[in-house]
Amino acid sequence: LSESELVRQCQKGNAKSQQQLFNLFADRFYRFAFRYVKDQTEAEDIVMIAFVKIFNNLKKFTYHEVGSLEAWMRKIVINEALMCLRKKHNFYLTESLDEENPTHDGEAFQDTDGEYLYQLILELPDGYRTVFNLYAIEGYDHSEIADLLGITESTSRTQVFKARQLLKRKINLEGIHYGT
Amino acid sequence: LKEFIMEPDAEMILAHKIRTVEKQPVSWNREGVWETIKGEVAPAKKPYRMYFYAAAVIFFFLSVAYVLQQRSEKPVSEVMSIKPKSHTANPEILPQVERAEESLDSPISRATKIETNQIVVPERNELVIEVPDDPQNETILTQVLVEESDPVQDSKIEPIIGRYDPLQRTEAVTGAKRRRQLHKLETSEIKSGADYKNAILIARIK
Repeated sequence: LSESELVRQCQKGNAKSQQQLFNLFADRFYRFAFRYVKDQTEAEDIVMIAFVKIFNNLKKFTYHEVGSLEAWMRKIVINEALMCLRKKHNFYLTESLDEENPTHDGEAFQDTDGEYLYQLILELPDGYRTVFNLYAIEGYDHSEIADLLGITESTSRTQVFKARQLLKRKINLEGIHYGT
Repeated sequence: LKEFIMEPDAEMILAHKIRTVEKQPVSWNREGVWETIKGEVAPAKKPYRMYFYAAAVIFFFLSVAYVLQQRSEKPVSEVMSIKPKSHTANPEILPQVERAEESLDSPISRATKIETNQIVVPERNELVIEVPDDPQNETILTQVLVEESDPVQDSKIEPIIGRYDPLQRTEAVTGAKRRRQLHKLETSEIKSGADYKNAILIARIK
């Protein structure tokens, strides 16, 4: 089944198509949720709640092109992950630094293994990790992040900057470690 | 400028790598989560089915009740012809009207006294005599009908002689309209507006 046909069948309530859609996206959404909450049980709950919402609201979704379904579902999973995080983490209290000119090191990310980068992101503190995930991987801008988390744009920028610094430091340390 | 250009590149590389990693299969409680999702999504359809079943059952019982009611009901004209009741003691007016008039002076308002009229109007002790088209029989019939044991009314007995139309019979005996129906008798002796409490109707069948 093509993605559009799969959506059509799921909109009709076809159980087999719903299972097929779940099998297609469940793994990536589980890892995606885990990247935010860093807890297996919570990640499973997020996937479960998100898919229930996906199936219940799929009739409202209009398929446009390849990737539009995943983008729509991702937003639902992100919202669920952020709701879960809000329960245990107050983003408003996250410290804010004065504005600095961040330095970027694209080559550091380019030479690093994806799985290893994934693990490094998981090691970031909750606040840094959440803002970094939203900004660097999901592609939200700082104003959107500020709205989502109830923080200022300045705080969002600071969080991303500090997260990058931490990641770079970890990558460099590992490079030294592996080099010695 | 270099830093400004590098920022999106670095983010794109990172995002691409992370998304590639996330597409790889991973072992987790996928089946258990799916079972829960299936249980959560399926119940949404059940209530709709239940509503349909409930509506169908109600509709079935209503239709059965309607059919049974239709079978038990009989036309008014049929009922009237089947139930010849004797109400000689009752006055001419309908029972409901009588009660309402009696309680006019009571503290209860008249509006509360409105009652639905009965469909079947009790017939009086009617007597329809079929008289052959022979004027000589009139005297004999009058003598036979009035016996000594019958209660005697104070008012004068006035005979109404005319012709009786069987097609108007059911209308002629229905309470309030009776007096008006009498006018339909083809007779020259009937008096308009007269009170015929003790009238003997002698009519020839058309």
